[in-house]
Amino acid sequence: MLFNSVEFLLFLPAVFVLYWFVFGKSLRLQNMLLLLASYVFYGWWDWRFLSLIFLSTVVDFITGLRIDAAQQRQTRKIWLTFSMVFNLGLLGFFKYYNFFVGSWIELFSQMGIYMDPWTISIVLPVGISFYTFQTMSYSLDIYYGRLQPTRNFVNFAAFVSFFPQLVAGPIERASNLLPQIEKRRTFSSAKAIEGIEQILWGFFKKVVIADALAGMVSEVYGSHEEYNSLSLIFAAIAFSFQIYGDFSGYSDIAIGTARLFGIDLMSNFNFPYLSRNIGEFWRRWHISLSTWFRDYVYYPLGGSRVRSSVAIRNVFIVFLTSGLWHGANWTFLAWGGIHALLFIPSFVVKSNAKYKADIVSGTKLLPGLVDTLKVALTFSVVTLAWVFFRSESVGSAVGYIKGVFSPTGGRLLAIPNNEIITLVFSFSAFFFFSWIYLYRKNEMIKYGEKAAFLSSLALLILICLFGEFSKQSFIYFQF
Amino acid sequence: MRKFGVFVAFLLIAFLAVNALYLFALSKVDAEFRKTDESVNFTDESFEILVLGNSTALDGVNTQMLSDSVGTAYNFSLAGSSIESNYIQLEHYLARNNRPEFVLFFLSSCHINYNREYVVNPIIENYYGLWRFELEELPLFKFRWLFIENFKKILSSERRKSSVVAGQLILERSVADGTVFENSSNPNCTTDYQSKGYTFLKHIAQQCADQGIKFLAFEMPCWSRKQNNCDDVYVGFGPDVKFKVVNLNRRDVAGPLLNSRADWLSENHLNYAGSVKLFEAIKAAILEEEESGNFQ
Repeated sequence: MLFNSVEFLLFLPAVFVLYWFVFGKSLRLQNMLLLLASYVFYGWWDWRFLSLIFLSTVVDFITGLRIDAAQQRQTRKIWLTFSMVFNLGLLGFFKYYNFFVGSWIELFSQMGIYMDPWTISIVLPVGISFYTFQTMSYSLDIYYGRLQPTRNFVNFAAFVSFFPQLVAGPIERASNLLPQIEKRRTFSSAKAIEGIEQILWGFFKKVVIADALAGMVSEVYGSHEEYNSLSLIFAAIAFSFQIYGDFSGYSDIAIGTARLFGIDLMSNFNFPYLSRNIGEFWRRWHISLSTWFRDYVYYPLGGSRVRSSVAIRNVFIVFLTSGLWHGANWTFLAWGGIHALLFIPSFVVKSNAKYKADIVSGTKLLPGLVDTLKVALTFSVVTLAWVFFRSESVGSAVGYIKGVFSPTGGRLLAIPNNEIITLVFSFSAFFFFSWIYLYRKNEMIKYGEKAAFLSSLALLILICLFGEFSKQSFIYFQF
Repeated sequence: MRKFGVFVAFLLIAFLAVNALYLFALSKVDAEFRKTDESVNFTDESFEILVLGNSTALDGVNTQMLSDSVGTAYNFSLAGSSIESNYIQLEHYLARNNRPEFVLFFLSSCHINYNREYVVNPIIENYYGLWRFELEELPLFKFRWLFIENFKKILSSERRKSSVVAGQLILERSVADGTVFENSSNPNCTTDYQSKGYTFLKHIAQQCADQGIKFLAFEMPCWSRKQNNCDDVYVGFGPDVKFKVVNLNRRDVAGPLLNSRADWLSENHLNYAGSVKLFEAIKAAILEEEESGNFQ
């Protein structure tokens, strides 16, 4: 079920009413409802893949209990390995099998050895990268002694499949979400009102910003050799906003929806395009994934508390696996590699941890000149890396970038007047609301229920007037 | 929970109020809304000529000149109208008013694909009681394009000065037609007026035949690149329903008649100067058909 569908518009109020008004007095029934609703939500897309979630849930539920019960370290390790092999095997089969087999065959064919291209057509189950990472973190946290396993299967299954964040995150940690599912929830009007506003803000970013840009971006990326430098730059910037609107929009809808059920999900985006270096960008972009890799890959490898060369290797491993997590394509690996290369200089001079606490222009109306230049530079290199992320192949991305620096040839992307006016309205509203939320976050403005009411109303109006409703799926569903 | 309930209720009420306000504002400021409001309320009118079509006819058919030299005329055309929309307008008009002598139908097959674009104009749905109980019916959504169209009035003095005379939208604005006629790009002249997209053309012609109204159809001219060398054709939907489609998009008609720099409002849409020039061709076609006694 898509968030931007009529089905969801009926589904959400129905589950909300049942959750608070019918089953409100029983935590057990509430959790059973959450589980059932989550399976309906996921099964709406393809019910056959519910078996995968169920299997993953059963495996990690049992594994968690076994790790906890095991007295010997060796036994704990065996059960953890079992969980990792199962989850990564699931991911590897459904997501990477064709990629590795195809790449292997191509490598041999370049050496003159031709192999039978035996690959099978595998459909990628929506959200598999998200829920397998979530279940793996559960087993890992128990293994490292950071978490006690739950003995209630329904609660655990509800944690794995919690519908607002099931298919595109945030990738929740059991230590945050599970205690909330196991504890009695009380309804908070203030929280629910914030939830409604956040859902609308998410919808705005998805249908007004991301989907409105999708057509232009596809047109240019689809035949980039036909366009001139200016059009290529425009489309590259447009994609930066498209993917931000699409993915952060989904996260906002997920977080807002969870709030309606009295559950706080972790923040996934924190004004990433206001970052002053790549280190800061990765603390603000897809936070649930970057912290996952930090906690479960980077730190266990030794993090930065090892020799410089090993630390640099660790950085590369994290960025490359993060790239590969996004999809089975060399473009994602290249994207991860570029980010690693951009990150390494500040890592070496130890300035990557700078800007950890504050945000640019956090306490001022506008940022200073130096900060503005830093933000512009970071945005530019992030946009350059997105070219690899969006392109069909590495060769195509290289051709695209060559086109940007080519002074001659190509045509200008024609945008009709009405679309230009729509974009001006949409982006004015986008920047206005972004600054409002930034000021609110930094407590520079008072933001009560009246403000929430006016913002919600304005967002509803903007969604109706400028939203693109051609049922575009979310980009991150494919990961 | 009560506080949240009040918040949601007020939000919905305010949202519906904004929708109602938007609809009210459109009925006051939007030219096509006002025109449709006027035409839907016609009773016992005696126009001799009814003009039907879409945006190309809305701008490009000079109803005032038709009134002055052929017979009192009114232009029912609306931007984005399908043939079905025009049929709804015609049926409504004929049920409440006196029978006209002519119905002139203006197609623009060079501009739109009738077999693909097959919806009733939302303004027609609004004024002719065709509302449905669906989310898409919210005025802010249903008439979203009109927000931009009316916003353009703030930006452009030409648009502010526009007016509607006898149903024709008069807008003094010029966009040059920079395209070039290529005979080879229009090799066939086989517009299939019997195909699905033209279904309501048959209904309109049938309605006219039943009521003894003279019916004539035209193909409106497009920019040079889309002009052709196709002849006028007679279209028959059975023994009693037969009419002529006059091709104003012929290169030898539109080419000499229209100035590529001065007569276009936007792509494939004539401005007022263009409508003045095209009038002569429309008038000649009516008179020719009248003299030959070929009207159905």
